[in-house]
Amino acid sequence: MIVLMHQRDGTVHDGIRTSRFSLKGCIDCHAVKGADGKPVTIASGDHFCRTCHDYAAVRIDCFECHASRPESAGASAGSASFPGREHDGAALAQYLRSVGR
Amino acid sequence: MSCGSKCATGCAGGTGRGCAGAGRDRIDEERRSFMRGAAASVMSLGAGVTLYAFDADPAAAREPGEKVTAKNRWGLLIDVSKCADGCSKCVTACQDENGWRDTGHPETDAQWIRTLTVKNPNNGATFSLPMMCQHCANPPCVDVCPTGASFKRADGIVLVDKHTCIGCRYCMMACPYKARSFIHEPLQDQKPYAPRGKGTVESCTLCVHRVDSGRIPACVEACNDTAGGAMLFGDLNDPSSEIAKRVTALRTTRIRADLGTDPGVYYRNI
Amino acid sequence: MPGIAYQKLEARQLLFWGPLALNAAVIAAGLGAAYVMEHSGHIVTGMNNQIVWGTPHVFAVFLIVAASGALNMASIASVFGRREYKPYARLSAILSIALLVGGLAVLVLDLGRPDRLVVAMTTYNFRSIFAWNIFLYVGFLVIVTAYLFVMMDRRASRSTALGKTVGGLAFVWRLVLTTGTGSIFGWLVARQAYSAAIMAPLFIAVSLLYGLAFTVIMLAITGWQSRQQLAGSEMLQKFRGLLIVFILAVFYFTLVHHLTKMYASEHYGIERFLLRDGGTYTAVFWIAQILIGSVVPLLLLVWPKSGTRHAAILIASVLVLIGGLAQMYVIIIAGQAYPLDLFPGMEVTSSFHDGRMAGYRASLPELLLGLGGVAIAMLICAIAVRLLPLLPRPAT
Repeated sequence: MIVLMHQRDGTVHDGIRTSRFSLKGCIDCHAVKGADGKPVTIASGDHFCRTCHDYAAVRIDCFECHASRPESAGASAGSASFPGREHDGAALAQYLRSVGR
Repeated sequence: MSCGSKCATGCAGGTGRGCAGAGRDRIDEERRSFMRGAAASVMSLGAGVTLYAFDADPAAAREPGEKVTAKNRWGLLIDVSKCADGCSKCVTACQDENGWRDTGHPETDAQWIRTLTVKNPNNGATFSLPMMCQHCANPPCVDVCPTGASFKRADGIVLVDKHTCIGCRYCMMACPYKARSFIHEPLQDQKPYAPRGKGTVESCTLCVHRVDSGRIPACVEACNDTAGGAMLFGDLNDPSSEIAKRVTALRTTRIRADLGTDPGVYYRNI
Repeated sequence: MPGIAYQKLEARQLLFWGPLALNAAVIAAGLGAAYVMEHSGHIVTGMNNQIVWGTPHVFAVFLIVAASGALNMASIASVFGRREYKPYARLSAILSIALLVGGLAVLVLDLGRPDRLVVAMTTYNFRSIFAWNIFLYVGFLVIVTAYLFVMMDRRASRSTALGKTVGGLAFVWRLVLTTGTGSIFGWLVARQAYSAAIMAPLFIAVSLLYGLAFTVIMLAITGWQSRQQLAGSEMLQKFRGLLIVFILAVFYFTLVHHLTKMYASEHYGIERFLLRDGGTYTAVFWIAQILIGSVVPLLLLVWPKSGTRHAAILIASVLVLIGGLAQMYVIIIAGQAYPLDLFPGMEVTSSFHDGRMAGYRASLPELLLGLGGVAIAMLICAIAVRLLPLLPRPAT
């Protein structure tokens, strides 16, 4: 939230729409595919944003308004799929290693 | 695993960091070329069809990374005589674009744009027109908003910043055009470029996401493509723009102009 | 000059705990209602895109203006130097705080995003009278709390100058506060029913009336709980006189408001709607606001046979508050029910209820939320009078 805050105002108030300023841009690339091969929504614990925010026990309300997955489901989803349902630190570290590789 | 198919094609063999940077540049480039294309198509259509928006290439006017300025004032000119009875193409286009829809609760469902039928009670004469946020220069909704969530962008587009909207609905009390809706129910599957959520107020954004990428609002596009071509979008501040020329040359009406709101939406043949 | 003695509420167990439990239960129901509204959205209320402010706002504005008026006794005593009102000053101050907290709680819990209260407290648009009101409300709480301290602290209360200063500040502040609250409606140019400068003085008159009625009722309740006569006949006669004056003042401003609107042909529509054709809204105006809230209490108070009786003054106060809720209902809800005049002189129809009188039916959650606000105010009062010497000694 703090990381994205200034970009948020830049987009909403000043109309700056480069991908750096775009939450939609984040979502488009960081979409995580679920079992059905389609990007998961925020309802899933595998969602990119939730993996860290759940771990830190922080509830985010971004996706009460924002779409939590790319519009054409599947089209631009990242190929990374979250390894396990267990949300422990090790799994998260493994996931981060996998996407960083 | 790589960082995603899109990124991987853009910078095969790069490091994670480099990849992200390259991907960003690529997206920006993509966006720019897309906008050039969009502007070009608008221009080419504009030659034949009477009403099209951008006379000058808007992408050239502002880079995506630049702030909007008061140099522009976006507005609409709507020729009511071209609005066919019962036509609601602009309404459905807006619904499709922005994701609001009829959920069977007419009292509480949001309506960003609607068609009004106006009848003179003395002689029965009627006409129809689309009604939406009038993007006032002096918007009462902006004046009354306690947190400043209701705001006017430098280029005249009136928006709700849903990050700071507390859902008090005072703007709905203040708007003379009934342009705003309150979201009464939780929503899912919003459009990525049109965030909307329970407990906040919303209204026509003049398709700000489209305008920022050099496109015209969905309602205007739909009206031109599939209906009577009653709507013209453009920059009221640019004297060379089609809308500015017409607003100068033709007799136009603005709704409740007596309130001094200075709307950005002009009507013709009312 | 003998000092004025105060007392804490000494009530039999059941008489104190019974009402307290009742209030706590209503508050719990109100909070539950707020949770349901927050969780499911405002779809569970009777509010919609036409009636955007509903029952919670009726209660909230009612309590907020009453809060300002509840300070009457303290103001009369310290600002206007009428010593006979002094015994009621402390009670009037705590009642004032309690009513404001109750009203604000309702207002905040009705927000679409009550979780963003911190945004409302930190991000301001100073062109908004609503934003100013946030300062006025919070400032009022601070000033009245200080005022209460000055009245109660042994050393501070010895200084008449200090009491007069803080009391004077509170007096000015409450007038500004009520002006601000009335202007929430008065400054709305878009709607036929509002856009009237008279809203501010109307709200001041209304606050004086509701606040006094609340004070009379509070004295009756605490008197009943402690089995004492907390206001003597002489005092009750003063209350009676003030009630008559305030009822007439509210009636006067209401009359002028409607006459002014009625004179301009552009407002024929709204006046016909409010006074003749509005169905429920018209009935609420004539029966609840005018008949029950003004005429009957006025007759009770001026009729020689009933006017001097304690019961009549109490009943009149209760009727005034019923009429007050009705008045807020008419101002807030009926005012919105009349459609916006997009094309003056023309008939407008659309899928968005343009040109139609909006219907409104209060739902249980919003009703509970509103009543919860009243209960919060009553609970704060009950606890305060039990713990602190705020009540006057019984009349001799």
